[in-house]
Amino acid sequence: MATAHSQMRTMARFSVPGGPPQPVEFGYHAVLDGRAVINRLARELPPIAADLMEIAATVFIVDRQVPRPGRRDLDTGSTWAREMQVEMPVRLPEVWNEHADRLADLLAWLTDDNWELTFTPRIGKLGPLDTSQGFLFDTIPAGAAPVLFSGGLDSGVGLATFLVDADAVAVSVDTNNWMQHVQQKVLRELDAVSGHVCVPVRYRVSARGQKHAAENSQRSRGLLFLAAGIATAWTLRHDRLQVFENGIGAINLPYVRSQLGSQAAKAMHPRTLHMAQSLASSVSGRPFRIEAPGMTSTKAQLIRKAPPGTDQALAATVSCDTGFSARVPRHLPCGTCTSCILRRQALHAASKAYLDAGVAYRVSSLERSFQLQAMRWQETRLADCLRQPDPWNALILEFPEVLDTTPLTPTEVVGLYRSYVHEWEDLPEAFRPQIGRTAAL
Amino acid sequence: MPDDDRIPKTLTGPWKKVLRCLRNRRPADETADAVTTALAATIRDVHGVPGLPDIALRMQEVAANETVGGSRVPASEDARRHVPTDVAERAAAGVAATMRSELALVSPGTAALMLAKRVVAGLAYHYGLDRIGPLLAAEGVYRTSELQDLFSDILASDQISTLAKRLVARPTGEGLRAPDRQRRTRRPLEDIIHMPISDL
Repeated sequence: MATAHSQMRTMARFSVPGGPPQPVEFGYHAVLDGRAVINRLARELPPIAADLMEIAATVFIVDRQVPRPGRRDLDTGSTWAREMQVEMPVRLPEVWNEHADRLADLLAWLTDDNWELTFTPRIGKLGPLDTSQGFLFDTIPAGAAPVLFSGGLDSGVGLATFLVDADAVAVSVDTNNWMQHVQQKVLRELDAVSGHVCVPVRYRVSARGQKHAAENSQRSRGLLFLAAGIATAWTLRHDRLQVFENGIGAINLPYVRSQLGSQAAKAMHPRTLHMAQSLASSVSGRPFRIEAPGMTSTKAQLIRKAPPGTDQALAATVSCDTGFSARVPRHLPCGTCTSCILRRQALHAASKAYLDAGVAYRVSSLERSFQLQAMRWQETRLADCLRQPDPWNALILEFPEVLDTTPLTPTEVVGLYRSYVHEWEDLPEAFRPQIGRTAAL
Repeated sequence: MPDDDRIPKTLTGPWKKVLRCLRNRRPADETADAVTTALAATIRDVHGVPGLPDIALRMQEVAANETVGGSRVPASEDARRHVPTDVAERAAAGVAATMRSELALVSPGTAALMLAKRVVAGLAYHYGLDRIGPLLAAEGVYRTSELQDLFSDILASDQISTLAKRLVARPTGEGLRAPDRQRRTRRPLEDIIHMPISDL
């Protein structure tokens, strides 16, 4: 009985309206492996940091298990939002219950879902991030700053640029071996050409016994990445975290008006970062800052700033939406998802298209690509707004989502999109629609 | 970051008819009729925007007294669950942030109509035109700017304006019908044959 009670206090539960509670327990239903971090940092995660990481990992697992509404619901006016109730065992339940609304707001922004969160005391066996071992040596260089590293192009450029001036602790989250392999390869390449030390630390989060997720939108990934960075920063006794994302990708305005809310992902949106740093500051009782130095730059502008000698590392980065999937044959990028197209556009605009010259895309031609035309659809609307006497007001009316970009100023946002539109105008023929072909009737 | 962006592309029957009209380059008035019919059907199917009058009222209040702090006004829970309400709240945020002086001068009824016009256009783009546009551009049938101009013209028509008025009168969309098609009366061939060319 005592054992059963104890088990209940180490297991999260979630439910949706009308459904029975379902368990999520690390080791049984999910994997959260932070040993690499703990061993590398040679110190335990503080309770608040371990809690944050376990909460984010639990939410990520729950997010994959609840399907969003289907087409019939969407055709009758429903959004893709879900109602989620999650109860999680934590080390500091008072703290988390006090700030549950703040966390739920962040999740609602990231996922469009309504999250009802409650936290219970963790009693019983150790959590996945607890350790009973002692540590002798701290191997992290003094002053090495925590930075988030995804294995994507922006984070590769950002980290390469950061390493010109300082040491870094590169925090990664991987969900499969291929993703881990890519991240490690890029870090090795950067390490080989950098004058400063880059200490890689990685968390592994994945679902167990689940071949296919019931829901694959996974909009809570943003919280998972940020939680890993914040938790590691706290463990290093730092009060700031660097993230590297270009402004266009971070703001990620909807390409077309059929997209609503988080259908355009918001993992590194300025508002996400603001909400996450407010949450981190509130629960820890100490000011915490998330810095995103690329937020007012386009992807191409970031790429142009890459230090010399980093081409090989940047060529190893992966941007494709499905490029990290373990199931894609030969792990080739698709070439036509919006992430691939933005990468290709940016490399062209930065005169670095040669970085992807050796890449075979699963779909080689952009001809007839709906995604490319959706991006051009957006770019044409942006260009129209920017031609108006008051471009900020025009942007607000056409894209009300720009109202969410605080703390960026209107001047910064307008400048950002001017640069982006200009880059599109200068692109080669491959990115332009070919008019006059016979339409399929 | 654009990370697995979802771009809804599916079309209901009435919007497929709009797609066919555009693909076959049917006359503009015929396409406009198809859009109006599809839009009315959509508004009925999605149950309109029940909170439209309240959203319009709040839009005026925010414009008069507050700073618009996000992309939805009033950022209700309903907007998270109901697409037309979401579309309406985003339109309200845009209008409240940019048309303060105009909103200060109009009655609540006029403000509701201003909002309804933007909502109707927003729903046309959400459920139909912005799914169709990139598709036709990808097929090479039209240039992007050509399509966007065409859609703007259609949504600026009297038929759509009348539909917006009807939405204000029936915010739940129940019983909402598309305005009658404004057909051009065909002149008998005899009249045209005997008419001076300059009068045609």
